[in-house]
Amino acid sequence: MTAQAPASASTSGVETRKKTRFLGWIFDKPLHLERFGMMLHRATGLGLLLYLIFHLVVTNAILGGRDFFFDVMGMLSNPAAHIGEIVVVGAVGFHGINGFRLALIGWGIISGRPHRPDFPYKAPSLNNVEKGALWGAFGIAVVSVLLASFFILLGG
Amino acid sequence: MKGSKLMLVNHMCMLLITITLFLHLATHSFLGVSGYEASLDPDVVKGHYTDTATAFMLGVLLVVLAFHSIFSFRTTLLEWRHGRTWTKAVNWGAIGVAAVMVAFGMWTIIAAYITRW
Repeated sequence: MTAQAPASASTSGVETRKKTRFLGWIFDKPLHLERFGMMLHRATGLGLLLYLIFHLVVTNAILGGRDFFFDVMGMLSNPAAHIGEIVVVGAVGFHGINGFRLALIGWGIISGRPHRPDFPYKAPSLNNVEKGALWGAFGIAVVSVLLASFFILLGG
Repeated sequence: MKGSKLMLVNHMCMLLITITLFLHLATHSFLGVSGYEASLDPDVVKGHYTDTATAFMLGVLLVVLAFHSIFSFRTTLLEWRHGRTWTKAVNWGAIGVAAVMVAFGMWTIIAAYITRW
């Protein structure tokens, strides 16, 4: 359910509805594990898209010759960039595993069969298998960060 | 193409991304290189592009990543807002951005493949 913010005197009703809808899209309540996973999936997806564009531009430097590429890599060889690369690998790990979880739910493989809603009502949207897969995605993200740290910071 | 078929293509892209991205990361960590820093050496990077199999793998990775990322971002934008004009703008924008990304990336791969230092 999306919370409706009251229209203020300075803001028209249409603008208020637009703002509420946008914020509701991100911070809709209740913020349970599945919604948090979905938010993180979208955030990592958008971040990885931006990184992909950046990566395409950086790798194009190879066409500038050996010295130019060496200079570009030299600019990116600093602790902040290395931490950024580790975050990217962690985001790839989470986004990849959670993406397969969502695909399996979409195909109806791990979401279970639909049943009659009897009391006490239990949301069928996050069963134990789905919950396990989501925690698995968090776990893979942590493992990815550790592996990336090993290869990037410690030199493999 | 119907949305369900596009989603099927998207799921196939996810599988291809898993395979090719693993190989791409492997070539920068343990596959044929002594470490991450060594994998960023200009000659090593150039070697990835001049090797036909690796260049082909990078091309496949580029295409499937561009499709998956832009198609998924399009889905998010269409969930956010609705309307015929918005849908049309998002669809054409997605096609345009994906085409530019693939063209730019392919330019890098092909030019690096055919030029010699």
